[in-house]
Formats: sequence, structure tokens, C-alpha cells
Amino acid sequence: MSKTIKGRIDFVAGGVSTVRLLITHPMAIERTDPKTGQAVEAHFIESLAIAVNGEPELVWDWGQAVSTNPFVSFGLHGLRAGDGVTVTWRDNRKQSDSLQLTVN
Amino acid sequence: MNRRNVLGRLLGCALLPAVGALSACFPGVAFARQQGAFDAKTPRETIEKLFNALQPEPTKQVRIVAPDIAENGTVVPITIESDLSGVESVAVLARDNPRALAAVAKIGKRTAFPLSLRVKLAKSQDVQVLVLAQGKLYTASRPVRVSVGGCGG
Amino acid sequence: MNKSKAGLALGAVAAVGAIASWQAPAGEAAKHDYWPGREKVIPHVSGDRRFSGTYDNWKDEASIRAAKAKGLMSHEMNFKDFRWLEKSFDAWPVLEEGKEYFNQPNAAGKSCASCHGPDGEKLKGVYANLPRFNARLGKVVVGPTQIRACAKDYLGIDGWKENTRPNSVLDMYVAHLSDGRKVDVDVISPGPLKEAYERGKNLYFKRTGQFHFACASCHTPPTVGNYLRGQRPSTFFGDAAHYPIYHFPYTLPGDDLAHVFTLQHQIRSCQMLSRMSQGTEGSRSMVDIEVFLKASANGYPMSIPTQEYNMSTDYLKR
Repeated sequence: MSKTIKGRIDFVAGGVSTVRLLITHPMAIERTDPKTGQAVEAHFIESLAIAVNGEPELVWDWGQAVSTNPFVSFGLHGLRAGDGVTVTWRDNRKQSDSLQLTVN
Repeated sequence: MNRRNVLGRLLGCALLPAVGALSACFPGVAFARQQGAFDAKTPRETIEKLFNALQPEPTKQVRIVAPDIAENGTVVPITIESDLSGVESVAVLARDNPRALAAVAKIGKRTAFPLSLRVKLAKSQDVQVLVLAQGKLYTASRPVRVSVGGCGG
Repeated sequence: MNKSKAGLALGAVAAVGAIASWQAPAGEAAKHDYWPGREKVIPHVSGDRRFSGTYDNWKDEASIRAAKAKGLMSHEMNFKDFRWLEKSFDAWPVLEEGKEYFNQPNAAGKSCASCHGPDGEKLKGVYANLPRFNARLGKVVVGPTQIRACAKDYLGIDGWKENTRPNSVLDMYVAHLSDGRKVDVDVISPGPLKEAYERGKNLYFKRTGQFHFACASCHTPPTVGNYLRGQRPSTFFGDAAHYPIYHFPYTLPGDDLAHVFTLQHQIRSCQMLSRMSQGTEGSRSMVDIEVFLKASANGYPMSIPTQEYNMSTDYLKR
């Protein structure tokens, strides 16, 4: 179980399965604190890597323009029951989290 | 960036499961950031930093599904459809944002379209998608209007 | 030159006089202006037949699907397609947080689950009958008020007041346990609920505030069905059944409510946007309006969790 990633795979045997992911993350852009005038650093996910059965498959590289609590979806060909899909994100503060989904 | 090197490294690290190794497996990921593509301000600069001298060719085989008027500019849903085969990477640009590049994806062999994402648009502008497939660069673009207000908030 | 200036001054005075007298004339100060339509209202969702006239397009799931197949737009289904056919994928973190609060033991080891069953087993369906008259507290209560009272009286927790994060998140969690149940608030039998319904109905149709609008000014035809500030309003029939709602990404300034809008929080937002004084959540008049709105959803299934903003492109690919 992951603290920040929720995922669902709509499995289609022999076809294209759809993976939907929802990540809880502030995805804050770099901004100025209105009270102090100081710059507040951005805090956003820089990369989201998806692997199938350990093999890297899709990697998103993000800038500050991806929305807060990012939702991502994509298709995967030829999944089989029992396959493992791993989702890992890493942000610009070197924090990361990972979710392991099993196809069934 | 030499395509042959990239392909070689992809095949070579197909069996590496570790998280840290993933970005090494996809040099294009670190590449985009290293090349300063995310710091480029204009779309033209961004495309140059990502794809060198390749000229994007507009095509109907790449389509963007997005609302004509976004209910909220900080959460604009975008879906990218593509009929092309052999897609290697996809870039999403918000052409009039302070930094044009929103996201870049390195596409694997089993990845299927459509891809969905939500982006922040600073104002009404064109959203542009670039798709690199079999060495050629394709593009599609769509205007999205952003307004503030409405009674839902 | 002097004559025209005097003429202007006279005209200005007359205009001011006219505006001043547009407010309640002397002697009529106790009466209020009401938006027309109160007499057509019934405490059941089918009352919409006499308002927007779209009821048959959305009265149940089959009708919504048939209407969608015909290519009708969301406002022709009073927006019931979006919030009843799709549950919110995005609201998951809120439900997880709600479950945590529900199971969280206080200093004595008691939690909501101690009385209400693991994960709220015994609270299934309860939300469809809220608001209700609570004999112990001696007043009509809505979900957030009930949560506040239970937390204070049984768990000794003082901080779970209305319009706080724990309260709103718990409200959403408890409401989702009633997902799919038909709303049934009895405002026909004589009693406090019926009185609250009548008062709430009058409040809903009463003009007030800087714009001199009533809730009904925007939420009845002809405003319903037309654009207002870039969106189309819906009538008040049925919408209460999808509250509390996940309202990401918009919040009122200063809120930290996990983007949960309870029904009264939504009313406060509406009041702010139409330049009325904002009511206090849990106060009698706000409860009256909630009773009116919930009873106007009688017979319609609850749908929790749903989201206010459409954050997917699925609806564009009809």
C-alpha cells in the first residue's frame, strides 16, 4: 500500500488495459510569500516512472505546470493476470513513493 | 543525442528493477532536465532543447482532447490520442505559460494511447503536443480558454 | 448655465429619492420581497416537473442513459448525469482520512467505531435520513452538528466543530456510507422538521443582501437553463443528495477542509458570491435551508463521493 499513490488497472486480457493513477502531492510552483516577499521554492514531482514486471516502461518527466494531486492515465498492451505494475515518483526535494499493483 | 546510444542503453538495462536506476535507464528523462528544456521560456526554445533541429510537422494523427473553456485553470484535463506507430516520446507544451514545457514522456514498447494528464494553464492559450515517432517529429495544437469566476467557484 | 446645473441637481435628488424609496416603503418594513414560485414547491424531487421541466430526463439511471444517448447536454438533465453516473476517483484521500478519524481512539480508548461499528458499519443509510430531529439535543440536526455533538458528549473531543477539517472529512466519510440510498426526510408529518422545512422554503425564496437576490433567483427558471457567470445553474431538486461534495481545487479563502464542501458550506459560498451575509454553519436558519434542500431531494438516491469540477476529458468524447 502506498501513502500517496492510488491506482487502478482496468484489465483487458489480450488487449489494451487502462491504468489510472492519482497521486497526493502539493505540486507547488515557485512563488513569493505575500507577507515576507521571500521566494518560496517549488515542491513538485519531477519524474514518474512506471515499470511492468520490473522492466521500465513509461517515464513522465514533469515541470511545474502539472496540476496539484496529479491524475495520470495511460494504456498498456498485452498485460496478463499476475503481472506487476510498479509506479514510482520522485520530487525535487528528493522524496519519493512507490506503489505496486498486480493485474487480476 | 545519439539515437543508437539511447537504444543500446535501453536494451542493456531492461532488467534493472531498482528505483534509482530507472532514470539511468531512460537517459531522455534526465536529458530533458539537463538540457534545460524545463527552463526554456518560449515554445521554440523548448522544442530546440528537446529535439534539436527536428522540425515538427502538424498532423491529424495526433489529437488533443481538452475542454474549450476550462472550469479552472489550475486543473485542466488533457488527453493525448495518437494513431502513429513507433512512438518514442511525447512532449506537452503550454505555449504561453512562463515556462512552455509542462511534461515529457518516454514511451515504452507496451505503452498505449491515449495518455491523460492535468496541467496548470496561466491563461488562455494553445496547448501543443509533440510526438517523436520513428525519428520524425509530429505536432498538434489546441486552444484552451481559461476564465476566473463562475458560481461553482 | 445656472438653470441647467439646477436642473441636474434636481434630477440627482429625484434619482436618489427614487432609489431610496425602492427599498421597503415605510409601513411595509416588516414584509419581505419573495421571489415567485414558493407555491409550486413540493418536498419531493419530482417537484422539478413544475420548475425546469427536465425531470423525466433524469428521474432514474435508465432515463439519464437514454437522455445521454439522445445527445442531450448536462443542463437538460439538470446536471444529474455527471454526479450520479460517475463517482469521484479524486476523493479517495478524503475517505481514507475520514476512516482514520473514525477509528482514531481518544485518551480513554474510545472512538466513533466503538459505538458505530468497525468502519461505521451501523451508520450505513443514516445520512439519507438527515437532517432529523434529535430529541436528546432538542433541535433539528444536520450531519456536521451531529458529529460535533457526538464527539463532544461521548468522546470528550471539543474541537470537531462545524467548518473544521475533522468535522468535514468525517461528514464525507459518514455520508459515503449511505451512497445509493434514497433520500427520505419526512417533512409532511407535523413536527419540528416540517416547521424547519417551511421556514427554509421561505428563506430560500426571500430576497436579501446587496444584490437583493434570493437563492431562487438563480436556481429557478428562467435563470436555470441559461448561462450565469460562465456556468448554468441547476434547480434545487435533487442536488442535496450529492452533498458533501469533493470541491477540489477551489476553496474559500482561509479554509483547510480537505476540499470537502458540506451543504451548508456550499450555501455560505453561494451567499458570499451573491453578496449576502454568510450564515453560520449549524445555526437554525442554515439548518432550515438544509432541511428544505434535502427534502427537495426526497426519492432520489444519494451519490457520494462526487466532485464539483469535471477533471477528466471523458465527457468530451461523446
